[in-house]
Amino acid sequence: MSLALVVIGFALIVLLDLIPLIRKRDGHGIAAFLLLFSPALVLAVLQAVGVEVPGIVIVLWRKLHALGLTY
Amino acid sequence: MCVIVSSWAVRFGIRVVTRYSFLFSILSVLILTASVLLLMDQMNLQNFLPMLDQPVMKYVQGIHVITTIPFGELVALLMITPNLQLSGKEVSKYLFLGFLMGGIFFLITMMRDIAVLGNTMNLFSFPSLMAFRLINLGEALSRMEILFVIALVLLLFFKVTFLQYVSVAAVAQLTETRSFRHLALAVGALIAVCGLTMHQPSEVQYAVTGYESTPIVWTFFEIFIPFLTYLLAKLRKLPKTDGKKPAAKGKRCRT
Repeated sequence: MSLALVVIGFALIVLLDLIPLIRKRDGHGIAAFLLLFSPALVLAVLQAVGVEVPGIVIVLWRKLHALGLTY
Repeated sequence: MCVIVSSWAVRFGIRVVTRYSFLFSILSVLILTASVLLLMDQMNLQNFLPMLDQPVMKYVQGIHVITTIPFGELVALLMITPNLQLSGKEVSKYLFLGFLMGGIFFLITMMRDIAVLGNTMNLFSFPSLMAFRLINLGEALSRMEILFVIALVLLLFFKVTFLQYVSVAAVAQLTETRSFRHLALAVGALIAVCGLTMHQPSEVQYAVTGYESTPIVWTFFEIFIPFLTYLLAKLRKLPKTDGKKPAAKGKRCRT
């Protein structure tokens, strides 16, 4: 159910934004759109199927803590 | 829902984002003033004592956190300064006046919470919410924390919208695209998804990052990179135009 909602939501974004960019043949715009859209889609699908994705801030904190670069 | 509204606002440019900022600011100041007046009878000046009784490192850390997290974020405002129809001096004047006002209101908020809550302040995630809960004007007007929630939601909405605008503008400039408005929803989706994962696997760990690692990471982006940019511009004697604004290499975004 949640996966279906994710697919519908992201399909709407593609319809609203990617299709006009393709029509305009704006290569830079398409690249920028995909740069932002792809990680969002991957993260959303992972969450929808139940994969626990750790927060990037917490991952960074762990790494810095291991290096002794935290307060 | 908030991100959808933000994305829609960003699609139509910075004017839409900032049009309501004056109203938000006035409302927040009114709510802050009302809270200080209504909590006056519950303030205890003894809560400020003893002063300077902590280890030095605690003060260094505290100042670092305050410098980077609430105030360092103001560096995002530099992204819109080239689009302002004001002279350099006027921009500096208004920016510093805004920073000063923000600092004063922040100080008043902190002092109010310390005076009202004292040492118990450390126990709460939202000390201001607890302070508002203590306002009691009889049976009818006892749930005043709604005022805090209104101010919080208004200001967070404005902040998220502005930061989203800045992110979209940055990506558009980096990729040299004019299709600015078509990136807003993609950025909104990324914000929403990252927001959902932010607290995983533990909210406690996330809270710890706020005062252990975030100030160190953000210092690089908020102080080091802007200072390096300024230094390089000075060394290369930029801008080289005769008093006019420098021509940007990337295409200017629609505002």
